[in-house]
Amino acid sequence: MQANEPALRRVLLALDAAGPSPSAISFAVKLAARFDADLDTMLLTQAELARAAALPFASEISLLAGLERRLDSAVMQRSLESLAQRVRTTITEAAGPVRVRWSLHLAAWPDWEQRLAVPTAGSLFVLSHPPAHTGSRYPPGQDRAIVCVVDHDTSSGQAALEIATALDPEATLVPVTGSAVDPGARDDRGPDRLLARLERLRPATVVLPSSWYAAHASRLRPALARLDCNLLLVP
Amino acid sequence: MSDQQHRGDPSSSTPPEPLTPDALSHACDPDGLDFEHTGELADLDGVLGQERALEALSFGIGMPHDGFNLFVLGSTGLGRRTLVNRLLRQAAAGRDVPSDWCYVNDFDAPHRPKALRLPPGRGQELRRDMQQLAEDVITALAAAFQSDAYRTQAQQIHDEMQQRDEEAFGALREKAETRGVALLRTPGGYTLAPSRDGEILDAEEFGKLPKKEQKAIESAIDELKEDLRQLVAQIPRWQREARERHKQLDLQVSGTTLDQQFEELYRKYHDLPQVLRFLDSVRQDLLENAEQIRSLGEDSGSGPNPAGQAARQLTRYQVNVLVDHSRSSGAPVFHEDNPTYQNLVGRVEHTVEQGTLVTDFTLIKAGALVRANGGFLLIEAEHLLRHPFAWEALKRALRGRELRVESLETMLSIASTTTLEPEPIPLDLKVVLVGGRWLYYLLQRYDPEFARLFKVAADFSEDIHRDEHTTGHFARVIAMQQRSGGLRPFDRTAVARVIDQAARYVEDGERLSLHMGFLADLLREADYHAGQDDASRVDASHVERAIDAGIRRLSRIREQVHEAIRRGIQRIEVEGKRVAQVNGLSVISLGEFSFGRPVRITATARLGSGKVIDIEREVELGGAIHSKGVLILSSYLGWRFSTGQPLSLAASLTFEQSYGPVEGDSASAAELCALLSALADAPLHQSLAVTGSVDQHGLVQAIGGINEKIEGFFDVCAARGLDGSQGVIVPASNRPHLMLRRDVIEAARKGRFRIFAVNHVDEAGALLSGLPAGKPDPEGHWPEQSLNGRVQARLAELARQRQAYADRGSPHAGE
Repeated sequence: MQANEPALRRVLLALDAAGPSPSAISFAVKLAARFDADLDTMLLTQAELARAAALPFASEISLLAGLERRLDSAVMQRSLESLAQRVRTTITEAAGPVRVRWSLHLAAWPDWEQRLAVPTAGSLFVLSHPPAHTGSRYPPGQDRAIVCVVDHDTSSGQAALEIATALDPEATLVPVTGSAVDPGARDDRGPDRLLARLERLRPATVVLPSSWYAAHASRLRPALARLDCNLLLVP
Repeated sequence: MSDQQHRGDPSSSTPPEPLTPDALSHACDPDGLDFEHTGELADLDGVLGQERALEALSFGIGMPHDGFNLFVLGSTGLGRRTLVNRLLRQAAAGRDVPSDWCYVNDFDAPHRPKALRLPPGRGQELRRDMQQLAEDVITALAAAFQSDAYRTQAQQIHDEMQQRDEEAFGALREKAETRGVALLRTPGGYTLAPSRDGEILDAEEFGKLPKKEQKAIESAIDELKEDLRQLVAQIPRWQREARERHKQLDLQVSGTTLDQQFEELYRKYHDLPQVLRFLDSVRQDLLENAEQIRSLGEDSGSGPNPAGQAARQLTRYQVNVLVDHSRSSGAPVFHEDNPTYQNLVGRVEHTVEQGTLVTDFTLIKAGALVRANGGFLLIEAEHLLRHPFAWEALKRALRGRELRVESLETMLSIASTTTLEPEPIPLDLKVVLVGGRWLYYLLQRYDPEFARLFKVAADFSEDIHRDEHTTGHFARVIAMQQRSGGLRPFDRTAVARVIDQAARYVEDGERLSLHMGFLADLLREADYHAGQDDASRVDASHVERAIDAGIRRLSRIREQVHEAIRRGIQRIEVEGKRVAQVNGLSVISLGEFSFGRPVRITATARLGSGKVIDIEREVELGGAIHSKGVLILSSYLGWRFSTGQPLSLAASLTFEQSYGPVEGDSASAAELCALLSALADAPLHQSLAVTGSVDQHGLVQAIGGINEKIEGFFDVCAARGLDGSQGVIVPASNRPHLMLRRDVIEAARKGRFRIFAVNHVDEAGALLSGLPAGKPDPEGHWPEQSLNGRVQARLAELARQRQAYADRGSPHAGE
């Protein structure tokens, strides 16, 4: 870590049941190493799956040729434990060489996107997207930019700006206005304009104030998944 | 001439006179040389005395057909290699520069590298071009795949695929929501669960729903499951389609990029179809591996030449230039001094990777055969035959007219490492073997293929007839050697002395040695002694000192032998008379130096059945030729003295105090004299030594080492004091070979040492015994008091005794 940089205590990586996203884990590990922070990984959506699996007719359609198998709580539990083990293995491989301290939590937060909007000083959130079923890869390249969505109205917006410039002094800045804290100032067309800009820029990483993301999560999430970029939320 | 006449008609029955001092050496008269020193002499045009070899070489070099390879035979030091080299280089200079040869990867079968034949100099050009191509392609592919154009198209594919994915699953999710069902992602796929207001119902909540509603939900979930199953079933097709579209795009981008890189190369090598085919295969491989190659460009990072560093990993596109003739003029003349199998054929080297020996076409190394291809290959035959498998490999290559670079360990199946089978290279070269005569005749005798593959023998003469003309030419050869060796000029006395030594070297006063090695050494050593004297020219004394010093350096054993004789340990008598004892002469050869040694030969005679026992043979110290000489003696006795009666003699002959092998028949004249002395009871002068072989009629024949033998006896006599009675009896036919030392000639001039040249054993017998040989009467009876008469009488007495013995009924009579 360099002088006059934002002091971070932890990098929070959120993964869902789709499994470990190597690119998201790698990005989170690099961030933690860069800011000398701890990496806390959360495996989310536990509660929903546990409830679904307990239903008498519960079954799973596998992505492997559409095979169906019966589900119950025990099967789901084993499946999630297996997933957690895969996540551990992936993080160990990524974090070991750079000596980043890390932990893995199984979090049953149905409303986790809202929770991320709660300011937590000294933390960063890295969100991963489930990989596309088609396996279509995003064109590789080294010059994919960091784009920071700047919301000058909020403290998280200012923090996002600091983090982005610390990561890349030439990061592209995209100003937006209005935040979830002040619904009166909400700009409904803000997400669309941002996504149109991101479509053109095709960034590697998007740094967002977490409150702004929480306010527009439903619209932003699928579009950002399609862009296949790392999403960094700054509380 | 009748047989009877022959028996009684030796060339001369009276003892011959000693040879005059002038007859003891064919010395070159310095005054007969028409120059003062060698600096005045011009170089000799052509080669002295090797006309036959030159003709053969000229024929062999010019002959274009198969099998007309050359074997240059002759002994070491004749200047064979120098001359052959000169002729080959002259011939090669007028020929075209042969092709370059390269090995390149065969992309279909990497273990069988392909041989490329290119015009001279273009091998290196192609190697550089391919190295540059690899660097350029890495950079160009990386740039092409990072370009906006490519990225836009790839994004478009990606987005379309993603969009279809999202739309399909989004539509299913919406349909499920309208039926009160949520689509949830699980670690292994998807599950469907009833939901209310965005919350998943658990089992208890679901149980509380009305049965009808429960059934409706279950029915909806079943229906949605089927939709989900159909959707999931389409995923592999989507994946395949995505891969295919990306692949097509990549191929299109790679192909366009490669075409730009290859365009210039195709134009440059349009005249070489083989290279064009190679470029095609490289392009195809690059296309198939474009992703890996472009990643090299992306990963290579910074550095002085990042693309170059990455390109070195792409060894499969390199060109291994095996033979480069970019700087050659004319055909190659290659001399392989160490013709091992590998040095001849080439080799496939290996490197170690993770403890395993691996190889590829870049590790094929050229051997002498391919280096000399299109020209001449010069090899020492003895070196070649000394190395295992090298001779067979050479024959195989010449027979098949192609070279297979095959590692020895693979050929012998002694190693199981990865190896290669490089494409054979057609051979068109002339091989010149240089070797000794013995080797040539051995190969002719025992290798049936030899005569077929080496049809031209260039036989170098060892010596040349000595006359005024050749002596003049030889002086010019000396002058050339002197100049090429950077030596002082030789004055004519020195030249005359060198010429004498050249005659002595071949043991023939009427011939001159053509051993340039011997000549060069003598000139250098004489020059050294001249330098010691601060002389500006080399004169005869310097040559003499060089010869003497050379002998002195090697004569330790000779001195030991002579000392043993002087001290009486080796018993040799050089005065007085003895019955049945004569001094014979032998030669001991110690590499470059030979010396004569007197040897006491004794004989005994008694009643027997006509056998002459060779004691040396009985104890297996005598060789076959020596035994032949001894057997001739009994034949001679029977023919000359016992025609009407059985030869009733048992005789024994031996070399006294000789404990080593004895070979040759040069002592047979001496042995016969000892035997005649024993039979005639006639004492022989011990002051004379005898050398020469005899035939069945008593004629004395020439032998080798005549000078050393005479000098050996002279040294022994001189050590005890020369009194004029001492001398050597030699075959008259050896007179031309006399090139005796100056001290021997001087002693002869003063009458203190004599050399007798004889034609018949009668003359030798008369000289040794002092008795006349006599002349037989018409009935074959020899005068009673002649040496032969006494022999005849003794043999008749033995015959009578044998008859009497047989009459008494001895069971062993006649044995």
